[in-house]
Amino acid sequence: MLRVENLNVNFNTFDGQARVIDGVSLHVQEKETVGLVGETGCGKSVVMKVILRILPIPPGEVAGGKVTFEGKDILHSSEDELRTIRGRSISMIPQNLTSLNPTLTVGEQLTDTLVTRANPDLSLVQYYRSRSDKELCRELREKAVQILRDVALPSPERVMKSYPFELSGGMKQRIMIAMALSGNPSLVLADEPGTALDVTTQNVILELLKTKTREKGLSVIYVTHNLAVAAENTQRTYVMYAGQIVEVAGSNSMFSDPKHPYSIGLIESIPKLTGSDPQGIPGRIPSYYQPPSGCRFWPRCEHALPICKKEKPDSVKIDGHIVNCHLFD
Amino acid sequence: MRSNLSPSGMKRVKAISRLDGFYGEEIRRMMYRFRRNKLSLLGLAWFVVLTFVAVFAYQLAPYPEDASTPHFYEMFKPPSLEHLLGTDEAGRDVLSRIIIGSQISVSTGLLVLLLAVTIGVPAGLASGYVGGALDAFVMRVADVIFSIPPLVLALCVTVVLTPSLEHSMIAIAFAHWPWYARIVRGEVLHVKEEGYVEAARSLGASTPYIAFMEILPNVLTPIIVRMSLDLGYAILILAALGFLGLGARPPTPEWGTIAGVGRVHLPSRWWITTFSGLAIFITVLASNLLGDGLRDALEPQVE
Repeated sequence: MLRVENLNVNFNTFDGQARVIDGVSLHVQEKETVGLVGETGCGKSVVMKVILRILPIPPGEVAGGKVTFEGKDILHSSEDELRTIRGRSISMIPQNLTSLNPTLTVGEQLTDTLVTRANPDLSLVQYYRSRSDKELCRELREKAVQILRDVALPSPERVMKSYPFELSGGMKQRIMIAMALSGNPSLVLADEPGTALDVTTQNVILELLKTKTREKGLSVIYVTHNLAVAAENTQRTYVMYAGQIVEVAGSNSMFSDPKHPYSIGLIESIPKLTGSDPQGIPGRIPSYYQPPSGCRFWPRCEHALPICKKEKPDSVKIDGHIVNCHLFD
Repeated sequence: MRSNLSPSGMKRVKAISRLDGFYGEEIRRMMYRFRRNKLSLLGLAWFVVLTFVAVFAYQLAPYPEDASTPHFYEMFKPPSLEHLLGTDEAGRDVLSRIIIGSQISVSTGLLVLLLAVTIGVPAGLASGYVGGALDAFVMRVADVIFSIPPLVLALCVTVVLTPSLEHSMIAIAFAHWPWYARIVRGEVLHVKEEGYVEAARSLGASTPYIAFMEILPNVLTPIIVRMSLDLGYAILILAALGFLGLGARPPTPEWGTIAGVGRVHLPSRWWITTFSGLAIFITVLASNLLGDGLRDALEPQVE
């Protein structure tokens, strides 16, 4: 359904060209939930933004690759075509809680979403006219309340009249999920939902998202830095490092039996109740201005071979995993 | 619990804690910051009085018909109980003319601002949000206008358009809109990076919707502050054009025009120019004080 092929994204800045996404390929099938896992700054969100074409260009630049969604070429669609896709076919659940406008009430933002969705080519004059249509407004409000009730928000009528700062983080996250699902999309990009919340609320939110998407039979891409979350919520997981996909496998198999040294490091860095202290991965994500030659992970890899510095590893299929690593050649 | 607050401080704390929502408290906080600045209260008071006077000008003026009717047997009477601010070269009561002139000054001042804002704000929104060549074009035009002193520019434009009150209003708005464009552009550059703009885009909102509904409400504060400061300048430049004979034509009781006509009779018949000039002076001062107070109240981080 969604297919990203060999995507390359550069950022042109004063310091030079940052090659942030380097040959990422991934696909999502109908009703499939897919995880995209990697540490902060590895380019997960950039991929999501390219899929929706909301990456700021410049400084960003899509240098190569192909994104197709249900046969449509996203990278060569016009802005008008994209607006009919955004929120209707593909919608995104943003990661930070500032994604609600502080100057508008939740009700206004929800009903506006519904109005603009009903007619993507609504002009401003038509928009203002629709706002003064009492009959329409009542209908929209009822629908908005219904949508809020659907994500189990307590007292939706009160929430409708509230400004975002009057609500808790969990409520805001629920509203954003409601907004993203209100257009009946077929693909949801969940960009680290609930990361800004405490762990218990995050669990509730993820559970809600899981039941909602399953109920409607949606495809989902979960972006997260936590492999355990991906294992629990998705069928297939991509592990990403420094703008490259390093391993793809079924989520359970990925969690129990990771192959790539980076995936192993990610699992070992999850704190456990018993056993030894979590082992982190030494070092940091490399500079994108001068990424390491060959495999981008070799400076941090404890199994690095001489060839790793020289050549980019090819994909190797092993036990149902697709691994990009010289260790398995 | 012992409190070391003064009684008025306690009262204020209680007043604030009685409010249910944070929003009400925030408004109270603004009111408090505004009230703390006594001079800005004076500025506000002057505008309240001025608005009142302008609305009821014909009821308040001692000789309402003096706006237009000359009385040649009462020329150049110095201030007296009968004519508190004296009479002018056509025997008209100066106080009445100033009171009725307040209608022109206030309404034209506001209209000029409205015009400048309706041009400047959309220009700034487009410039900041769309960026690129449009941004460069709007900002270079603004730079050109900035490089000419507003009075000189307004003067030139008025002369080109043929002098009249309407044309001087257009000229002043023309000299002022780039300020709004630049303020709005700067704010938009900041606001458009916010999460909610990206979220709106990801939900398929159109560019005009994002510009006017998502961004504009978040950039209103500096516009309001700038307007309160500019109101005085707009009135001042209007008066200056009137004074130079390029604004309202002489029988019209516009403050600058009154002062300009009275200038010929200085210094012996001082009251005509002095009192109309004083009205302009106080209004400009009040606008500045009000603007300063509003800035402190609405944008406390600037303090």
